Amino acid sequence: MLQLKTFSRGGIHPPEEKLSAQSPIIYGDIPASILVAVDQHIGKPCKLIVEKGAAVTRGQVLAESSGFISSNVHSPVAGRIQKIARFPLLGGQVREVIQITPDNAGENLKSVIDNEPEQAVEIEKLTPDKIRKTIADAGIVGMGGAGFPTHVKLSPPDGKEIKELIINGAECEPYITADHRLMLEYAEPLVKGILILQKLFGGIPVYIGIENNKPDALQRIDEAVKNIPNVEVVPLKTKYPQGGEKQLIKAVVNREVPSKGLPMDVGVVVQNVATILAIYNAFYHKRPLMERVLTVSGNMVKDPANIMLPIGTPISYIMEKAEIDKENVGLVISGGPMMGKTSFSFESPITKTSSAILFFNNSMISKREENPCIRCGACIKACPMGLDVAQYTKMIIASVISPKAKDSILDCIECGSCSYVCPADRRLVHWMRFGKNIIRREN
Amino acid sequence: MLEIIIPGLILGGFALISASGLLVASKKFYVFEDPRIAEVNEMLPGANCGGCGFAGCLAFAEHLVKNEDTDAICPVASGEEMQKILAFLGREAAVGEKMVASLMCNGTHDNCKSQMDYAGIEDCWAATLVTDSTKACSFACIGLGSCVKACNFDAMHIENGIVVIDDEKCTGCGLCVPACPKNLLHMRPYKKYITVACYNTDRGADARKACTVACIGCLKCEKACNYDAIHVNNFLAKIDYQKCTNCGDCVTVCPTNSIIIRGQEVHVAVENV
Ligand code: SF4
Ligand code: SF4
Ligand code: SF4
Ligand code: SF4
Repeated sequence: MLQLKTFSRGGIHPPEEKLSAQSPIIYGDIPASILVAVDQHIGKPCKLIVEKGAAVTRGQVLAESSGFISSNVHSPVAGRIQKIARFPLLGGQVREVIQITPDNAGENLKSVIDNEPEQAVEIEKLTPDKIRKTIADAGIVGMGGAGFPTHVKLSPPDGKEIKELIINGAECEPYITADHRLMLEYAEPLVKGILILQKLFGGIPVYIGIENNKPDALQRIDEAVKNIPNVEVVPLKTKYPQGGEKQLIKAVVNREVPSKGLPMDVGVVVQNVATILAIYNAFYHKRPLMERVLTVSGNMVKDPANIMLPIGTPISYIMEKAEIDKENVGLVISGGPMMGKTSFSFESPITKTSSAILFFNNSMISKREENPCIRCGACIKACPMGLDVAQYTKMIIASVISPKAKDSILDCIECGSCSYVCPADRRLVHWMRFGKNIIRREN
Repeated sequence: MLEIIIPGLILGGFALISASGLLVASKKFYVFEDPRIAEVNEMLPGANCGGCGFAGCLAFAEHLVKNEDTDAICPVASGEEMQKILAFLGREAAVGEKMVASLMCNGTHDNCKSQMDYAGIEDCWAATLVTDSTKACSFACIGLGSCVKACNFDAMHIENGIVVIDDEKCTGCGLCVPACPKNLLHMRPYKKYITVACYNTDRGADARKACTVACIGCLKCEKACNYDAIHVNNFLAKIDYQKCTNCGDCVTVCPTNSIIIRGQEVHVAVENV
């Protein structure tokens, strides 16, 4: 049998729990109130350009990108701005949000979307600048979780040549199935989106990395790209964190991104499946990034589902629709259980980067105490970046970090593999993140 | 006999050569070390806290001796001690008044409810990596004591979810100020004990919802003050200690009790003496 590709160092196999893998994407209704966060990306904050009381239309820019590494935010609905205030977001941060009361609350998103039919696009006529500008104007950011503005990733500085494009369909986090469903149900649009990026870089080879725990998606995408030159599906052996950019590059093209480096340093750009769909929408529907598919799952959810919702929908709306009992929810995670962020407010809105919302009861919260390290080395073996986690966390606890360790600590991708395997329940990722914080403060 | 004399002479010869070498070197490479540096170092409190901005007491002593700097002060030494040092160096001192750190929040567990069970690392900075605040108010003191760790003088303690500062023990070194991720520690003159214990700049209603003692920016204090010493900006009152006279008029009118009198008992006692 063919040896499947994967990354070499470390990695773990948490239970997959892909409960919603067979649930087709459903379309949500427009909620009675939408909360659009002003900043939904990494980089320079945007500039608010609307005022309280103003009427807005669907697709109108609410906050404008304020620099190169920044991104526009659009209104997903037509309506009136009720309030602009600070509000808790899903990551636990309190930031400015724009509250909009939609004119068409209750209308199904499907009918809104069907009103915006596909338009023909002559890919051959698109210039690289036009492609980048369309993507930037549409406010597209990495939708896998990081939220880095996509047009920046697609603009390598002079001297850096992009030789390959990798499409991230790994979806290695437990529970999340949003990308899986996108690949099954939106295969053709995804291919169209991929072709735009391929054109941008002058027809370079494209690899679509998909883990082998999604055989149907592998088959579906394989069929869709069969007759397209230079686009290839790469089946990957399931292992967490394969969806990490550096791990995916290692798995697909067997190249190592240097410490502190970026994928473009090894001639690669990685884009997530959901981001590609947003790019397709921006070109073929002239639609900026205004809705996204997310997985609703966890042990408090009776029917785990994949649902397309306007960005800004409060999670209380999801809880109501999914009949989740507020009283018994002990833990809300935005994203996957490994790298996701816990949230403390049921009113927090979903953002461009919310790939999943997981609801758990108290039984899923570990009550175990942090114990002393027993020097088993499990964390070091699990770390996909090959870090000596046990030693580094000791340095961080003592606040004496050697200069060499500093570079390594900053290489941590916060995947949580170390915490997952530690038999002493040490809060290893939190310590590593804290270490990064200490180092950044020193500089 | 000769077996002893010859090695003795050889060794003696070596000793002589080395000694003269050392003598020449000590004359040729002589560096003048001002003896006053050691003496000034002796006179400093020896806390080595770095509050003066130098690497330690010795480095500060060296700076004082070598530079005509009358503004540099040791925050730990009292004004009197500082004057003594400068007098020793034959200079006139510009004596600063004693400053103490002051917490701009009163969000105790009773006033500002916790909104999560935080189970992460016991450090305020570590907590800010997962949330803006563990409490309902996102400006509130997290109470995990990053400042306490920074304090060398046992002047800070966590009580009921916030940090309480002992004005007597606080030396005003200022090391806790950058240690707070919420920027809640500000220096104020020891003798000016009226403080707006809140840092919330949200609109009044939102602030009040989060905390019972929040400053709601109602402007009552600004109107009550006869000395133009308290002003509201961004829904938050701030005291100008150059003008504040400790009259306490603002304290009486504040509807939410967000202006408090720090270390009151101590000061009253002093005044009664
Ligand atoms: S969280 Fe960081 S240290 Fe831990 S396994 Fe992942 S990369 Fe390694
Ligand atoms: S896995 Fe935990 S106990 Fe084992 S070496 Fe790492 S930190 Fe220590
Ligand atoms: S004052 Fe700042 S550092 Fe000190 S406990 Fe409060 S939040 Fe933490
Ligand atoms: S409202 Fe003011 S006093 Fe209350 S917790 Fe927040 S900062 Fe502290």
